[in-house]
Amino acid sequence: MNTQKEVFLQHIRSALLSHKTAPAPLPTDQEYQSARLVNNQADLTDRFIRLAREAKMEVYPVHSPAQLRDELSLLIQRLHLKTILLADDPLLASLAIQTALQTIPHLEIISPSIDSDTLVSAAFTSSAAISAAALALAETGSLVLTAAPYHPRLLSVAPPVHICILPASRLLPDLLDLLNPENFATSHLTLVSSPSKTADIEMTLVYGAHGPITEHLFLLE
Amino acid sequence: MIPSHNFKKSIRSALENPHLQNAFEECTTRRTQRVIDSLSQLGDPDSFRYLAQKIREYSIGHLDELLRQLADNLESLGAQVHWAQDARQAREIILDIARRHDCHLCIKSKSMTSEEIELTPTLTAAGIETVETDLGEFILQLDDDRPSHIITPMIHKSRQEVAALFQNKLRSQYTEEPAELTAIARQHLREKFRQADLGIVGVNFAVAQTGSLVVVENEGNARLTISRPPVLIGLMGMEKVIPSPRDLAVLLKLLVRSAVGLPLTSYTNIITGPRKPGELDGPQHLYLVILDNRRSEILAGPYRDLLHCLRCGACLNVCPVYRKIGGHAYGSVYPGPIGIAITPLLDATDRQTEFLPELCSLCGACLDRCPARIDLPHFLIQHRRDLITHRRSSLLYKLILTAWTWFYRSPARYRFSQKWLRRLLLPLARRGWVRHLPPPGFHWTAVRDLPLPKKQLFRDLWKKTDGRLS
Ligand code: SF4
Repeated sequence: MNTQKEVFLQHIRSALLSHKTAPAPLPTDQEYQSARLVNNQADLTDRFIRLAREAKMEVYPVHSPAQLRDELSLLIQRLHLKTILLADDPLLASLAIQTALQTIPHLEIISPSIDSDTLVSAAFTSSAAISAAALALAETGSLVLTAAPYHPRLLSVAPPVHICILPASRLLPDLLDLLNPENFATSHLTLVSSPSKTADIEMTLVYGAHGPITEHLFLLE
Repeated sequence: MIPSHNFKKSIRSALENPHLQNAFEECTTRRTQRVIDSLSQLGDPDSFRYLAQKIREYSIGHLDELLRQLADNLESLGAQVHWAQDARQAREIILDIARRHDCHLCIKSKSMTSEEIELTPTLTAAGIETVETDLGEFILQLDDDRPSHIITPMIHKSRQEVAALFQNKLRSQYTEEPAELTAIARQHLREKFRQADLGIVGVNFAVAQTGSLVVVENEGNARLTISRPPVLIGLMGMEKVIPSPRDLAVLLKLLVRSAVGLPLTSYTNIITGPRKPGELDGPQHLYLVILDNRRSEILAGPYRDLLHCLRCGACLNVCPVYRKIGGHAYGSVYPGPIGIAITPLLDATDRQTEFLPELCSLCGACLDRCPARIDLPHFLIQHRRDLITHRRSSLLYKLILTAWTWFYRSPARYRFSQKWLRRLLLPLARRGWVRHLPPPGFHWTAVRDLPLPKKQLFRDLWKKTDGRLS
């Protein structure tokens, strides 16, 4: 096993040595920074909303936790959702989302953090899931979802409707701000930039290939 | 390489298929326009291409160090790394992992590398049901067909074909509506996702500094593949490694725009190690298989820069040859400009691949578009030179080319050759073009027309008018 590795790397080393010229250095810090597309802190929210909407995400700006709870309840009733997976996220708890949902008649609320088997069967049968975004990106209008004990990976990808809560303070300007070693500490990070989509059949764009058919986003300012 | 692949026959049949002609023209034109539009958001896209080139040059130049760093980091996260010298070894390693964990249902998300090592037949033969989950790949698998594009694998198929296929194989109601067809596939594949015990993903980038694997996609099938099965195998060519997260940032900005004309794909997945304590899903066992398969030979030789390729598919979309004949006519796993440059190097056992570099008009369109600034035309000329100098070209062909070179090397000989060529060809020409040469030249004119040399050479015209037009 280990010798496999050494033989493999040895081939590469001798291949590299057969070239006379030394490889060029990496770009300088300044050059990396020149790849930055978003600097301006002021219009992050505007840019984020515009791009997310262009990519067919439903964005609802809300200005207080109370407004968030009201609009969320209305959305759930409008979409006739029957069963909802609700992430045990500290943010969602602090916003009292569960209390608000409990007032909706005939709505079954499932906690995903029971055990693996329950999670899998709930994820593939629920009509929607609610989670919080760890971060978001103004450059591309994307949500950043990270795996955690209270946020299983399947939660935000298997049910046909995904509802996400994002405090505006979690917005980052540029990919260069997001992609750094600290943010890679989580075992799984996904940038979500649109509902699941495909154009495989005659280049016709269809939403809802395997992941969520619609993405709903409450942006709490 | 597909056995007994006949270039001429398959090219002719591609040219005679009107659906194919339409589909490839539509797809490549629309995509290219979108790519140009979205690249313009970068301000000066060329400065990004220079950066990308630098990053790739560094990565390939330090490949051994970066792979070691990547492997060390993956191992300290609890993943296992395997090193496969060739396709056979890669297949054995993967099969062995599947057996060790007693896997029965494997879900695969799109990976050109797995096509390269012909993985699926091996798993299926070992009794492991293996399902392609990218919609395009799923349809191709159902129909026993092959991808015809790196990014959009089934542009060659019409909705009617898909409709009939689903009705036949999935017993679904006949419909030609892409949305309904997609829903049928979604329904069918959900059960597979739910029950799968093994996942295989192609890796777009591996970040050495953090031990992360990056998978970009639009459909969510890769996300499900990464999330659901307890065993996950990432598969990558050894050239996919990059130093650090910020390199990923720069490359993503350019790659996704070049590939599909969007700032990012729907999902960008970054996997750093197996699931952590307390987490309820994600792989418990994470493996990375790193493939050489002649790449170290490429690394040693003059074709090294081809390893900078990000597999974005942009060069396919702008290539006039690809746009006419489509992906299948090449008969190789990787089609288009990058395909004809790299296939003869990856697959030197098959004589037919040697002639792939001839499927190029040297127009240079790919050079203008490649995000990694790979000089594809240069490498294609190099291939042709190799073919003449030390491979199996016919003696006559070599002779003609040597003579040609000799005449074109000096102004006097050039002038002389043009004068005599015109005299020789004049009786054969119609309206300035020679359509049929006598043997041995008739092979050449079978697929091309030869322009008759002009009475007045360009250089004379230039002298007379001092470079001005008329
Ligand atoms: S050669 Fe360049 S343009 Fe072609 S697929 Fe590779 S990176 Fe893209």
